Amino acid sequence: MKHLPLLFGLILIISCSKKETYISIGNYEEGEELSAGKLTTTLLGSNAFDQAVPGLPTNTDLLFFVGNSLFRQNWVSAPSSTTVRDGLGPTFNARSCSSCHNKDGRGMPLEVGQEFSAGFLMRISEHGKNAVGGPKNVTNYGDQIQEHANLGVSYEAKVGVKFNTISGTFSDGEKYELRKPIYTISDEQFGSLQNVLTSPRVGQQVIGLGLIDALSKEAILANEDEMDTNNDGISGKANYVWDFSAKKTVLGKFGWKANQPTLRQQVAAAFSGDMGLTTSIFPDKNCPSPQKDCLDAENGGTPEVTDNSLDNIMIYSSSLSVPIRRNYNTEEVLKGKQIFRDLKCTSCHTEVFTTSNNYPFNPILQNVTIRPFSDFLLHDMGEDLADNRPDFLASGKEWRTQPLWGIGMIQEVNSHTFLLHDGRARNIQEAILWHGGEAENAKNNYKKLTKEDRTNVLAFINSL
Amino acid sequence: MKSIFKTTLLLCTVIILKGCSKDDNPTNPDNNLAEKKTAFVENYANIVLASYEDSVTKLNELKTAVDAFVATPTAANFQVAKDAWLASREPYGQTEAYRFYDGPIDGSDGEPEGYINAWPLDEALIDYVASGTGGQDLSDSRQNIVGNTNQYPTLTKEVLKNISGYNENESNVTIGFHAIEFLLWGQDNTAPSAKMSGQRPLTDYTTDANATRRGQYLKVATELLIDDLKSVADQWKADATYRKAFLGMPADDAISMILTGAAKLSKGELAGERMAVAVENQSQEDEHSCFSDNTNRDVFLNAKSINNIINGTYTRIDGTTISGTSLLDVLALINTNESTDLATATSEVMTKVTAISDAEYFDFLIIGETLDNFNKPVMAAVLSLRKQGDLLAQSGKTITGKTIDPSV
Repeated sequence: MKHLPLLFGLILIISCSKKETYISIGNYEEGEELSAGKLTTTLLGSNAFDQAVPGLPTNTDLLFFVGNSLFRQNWVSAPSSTTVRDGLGPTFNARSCSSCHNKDGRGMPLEVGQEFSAGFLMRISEHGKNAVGGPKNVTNYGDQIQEHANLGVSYEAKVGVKFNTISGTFSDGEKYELRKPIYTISDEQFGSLQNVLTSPRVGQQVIGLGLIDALSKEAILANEDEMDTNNDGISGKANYVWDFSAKKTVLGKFGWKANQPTLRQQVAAAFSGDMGLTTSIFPDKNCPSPQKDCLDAENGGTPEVTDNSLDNIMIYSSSLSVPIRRNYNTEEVLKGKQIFRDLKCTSCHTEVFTTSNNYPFNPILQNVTIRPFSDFLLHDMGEDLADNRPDFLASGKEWRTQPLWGIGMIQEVNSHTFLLHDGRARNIQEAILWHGGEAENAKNNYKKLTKEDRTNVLAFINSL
Repeated sequence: MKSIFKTTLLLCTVIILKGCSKDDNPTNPDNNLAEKKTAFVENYANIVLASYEDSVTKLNELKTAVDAFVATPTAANFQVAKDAWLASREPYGQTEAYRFYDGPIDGSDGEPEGYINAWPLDEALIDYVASGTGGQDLSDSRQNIVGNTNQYPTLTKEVLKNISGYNENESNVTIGFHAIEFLLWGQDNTAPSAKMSGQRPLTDYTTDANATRRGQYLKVATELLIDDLKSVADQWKADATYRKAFLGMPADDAISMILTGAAKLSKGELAGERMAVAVENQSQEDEHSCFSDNTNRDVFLNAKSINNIINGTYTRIDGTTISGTSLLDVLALINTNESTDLATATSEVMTKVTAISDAEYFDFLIIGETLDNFNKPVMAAVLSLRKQGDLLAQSGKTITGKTIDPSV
């Protein structure tokens, strides 16, 4: 862990009575509020996740809006007069990207009594690996339950949830409760799903993805320590996954288990899996046999999402900025930052990266210093968080470190604070308390903090 | 490491805390400038209130027309309701530059903008649509709310607002201006070359099985829209908390907000979202007011909204004019060249959008235009709006020292 030099920032308060006071704060670091470096957006509020990085060339900037509209608007079933946006389904989870990434933000978890939510889906697979090393499709269903379908086509199954309560206590005696979700699959249309491997997922905020796409493999692998050679209890393992365009196995970067190698493939996979839309990367209709009605249904062109549209969505999603931090120089937040480091949270939530000089698709993203607070590697997060569904090299207990940038803005953008892969944590503190495995020590040390220090840590994370 | 540490010690990061005025900066002791800034902000607030009040007035007239039409659904009353909707767009279109700075229209507190003016509409959620245009989804039991008496036996404001779910998914747009527009005009299912708006038959409100429910939806959506817009207008009234805070903050902060809204509308929302997307997709579903074919006016009025701020004037629906210190006045005190450039740019914008307004059918106008050719009407206007957005951002920097990102 490299330490940045400390800067003694001076805060100059010009009071309205023209009195000048100087307060020095020891550990504000210059530029730390700029999560996406010079490409950070300063607009806050409910549209904070919907901002393009500044300085896009004219044509790219115009296409950003085209991509934005493709992202936000509903796709419809074919045939339709909406030729740009038809071909939805036949089976699907969502009708628009924004269903799961509302205002480019965080999806909603499944709640008791709901059959679906804006942003939740259930991945499924059978034991074993497929031909390229990924999760093995479930016969008749594929790798994800689509609970929606076009007219005349059957949906696949329904997912429900109930919650058990886990109680715990901080060292100072304060009690807390976590809600552990228990998922049920019912109403299967093409055979039983009771014994398949499952992994619940919610949509993440889609900010700064181009910057992650522009990270070099070397930059990420620099933090890899699979065998924990430095004995800090933290491994950090790279996932290697199949790149369908390059037709080879490469480093995974995107998704809850780092199971997608590039932003383009991540987007195309979402089009295919979540919305039933074909692309040049995934040209096959998402209709596992024997879903005959699904196979016979009309399509919206070949592919349904043209390369031109896919490019526009890529321009959009790669150009989304990251909002500037709030309250980054308050005493509370600066203290919280120090504790966050002392707790070794930064062992996985790596603060700083610099993007590579090789991102021709959107060159403005090259050579930018960013602060994602993630190493983009896999870590064993313990039994309680496990989905027990392997995904390429990721075991059932391993998850990719979530970037924390923007985390404190989710409330403002999406009016909720649900976190983790299925939204089980109701707020940041609960998300911390769910950490196990390699993060067990960090979590236990968090529980030992005084109330004031816990508040400081949360204030820091909220400032991101 | 050590040497870096020493160098950084020499750097002092100076952060000016909010809440204290920078106007008394001794390097620029221009009292006239400070007064002009304050006068500009006050004039802006007056224009904002007047244009919102005019919008509410016109919406009340729309409500009268809608109520009359639903009570007595004749062809004449139908037309009166449509005309009232078109008339209500005139002042409202001139309020759109008040967005993008977390003000009352689209701040974090409830975000009424999405309920007022969101588009494209999810019309299949509201009512019947032409086959294949709805993305019909069997498992979405909300489909066709007008026909869905089982799930929604009565249509009230609360019911519609809850169904909308816009806060959870901005693609579920079921209320606001464009919902009313859809209920009055219906889908525009003719080719753009036919130069026809939506042709909803009068029988939808007379003999159709769902006629009564459709009328209810129309009335309730209109009432909701008035509530939402009134809630915004009220926050700009003389004694309202928001207005007081807005006028009470340092003029530079307020100016930065004002210009953020204007710049983002000019370069991003209008030039990008509302014009370039329609050109790229060559699709009439991607025009702002696609049912009534009123997009040509939307474009003009949104540009006018920005122009009003630059020139410090607004012409009210009764013909009277509010006029005061303009952006150009303030800018001229600091940088006459920039002020002249902005004046030229905004008059060019108005020329270009007037051409679009006069051409009428926007869905026909975009046919054959491409994003890389700025010589045709729509993209020529896009280019001028983008330039104006950049100049607005620059004027913000010049006046307040704060950086504005004009893209949305």
